[in-house]
Amino acid sequence: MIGILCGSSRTNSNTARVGKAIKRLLIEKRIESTMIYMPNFEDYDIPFSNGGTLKPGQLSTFSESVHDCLANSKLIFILTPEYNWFPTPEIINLINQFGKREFAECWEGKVFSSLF
Amino acid sequence: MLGRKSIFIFILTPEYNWFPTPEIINLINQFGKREFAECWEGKVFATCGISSGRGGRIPAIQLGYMLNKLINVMNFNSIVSAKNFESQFTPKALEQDGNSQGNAEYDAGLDNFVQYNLNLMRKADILLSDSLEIR
Repeated sequence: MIGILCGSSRTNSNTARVGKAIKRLLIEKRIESTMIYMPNFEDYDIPFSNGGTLKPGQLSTFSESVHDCLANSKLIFILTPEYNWFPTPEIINLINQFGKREFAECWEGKVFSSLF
Repeated sequence: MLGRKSIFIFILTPEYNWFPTPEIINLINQFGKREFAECWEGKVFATCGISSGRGGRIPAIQLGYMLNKLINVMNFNSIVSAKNFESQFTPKALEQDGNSQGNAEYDAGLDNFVQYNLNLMRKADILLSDSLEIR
């Protein structure tokens, strides 16, 4: 399994465009499309800290799709636009919220590749 | 009304995973536009990173370069102070209401941060005003 996280929640973002291009290239290199996870960040609803912390078994549809992407993939592409020399708040918040021991399956034994 | 009536702005952030919070990054991204120029023009910014243990330095520095990026690209007459503050072991240094718990080293560092930046604000108010002409 291969995951692609496109860290922009903007509609029709350039980041999603690049993510789709990576997916296309993977398919051209004989990776089954069903083996590629790409959550739809236009549905992003991971809360900031004042909205609580994510808990296993209590995830929204979007958070569940991110969890499945991270937990089931061996290789994960993380894409983010550059806003003011920084990754997006969406991707930072995702890493903060899932970056906990109760989500260890999302981070253990993976290869991460980032693209700005 | 972020910063419209403030000349000096302290920006504080906890450190999560060696980063400022997404909240403060999002705020800067959303307000960091020409239509909100009054939030950024003629200001002095000082940054502070907060940790419950060791930490705070990295997000304070990162916020500084993020603000400098805005000032640079938008050509604002503003300054990011070189004096930042790492609030380490914060729950052991401050009460919930912000009162000191008696950590002399922490208290001196925080006071130094505030005093330095008050002094800088007074100097910058002259430097950033239109009344000063450099020939």
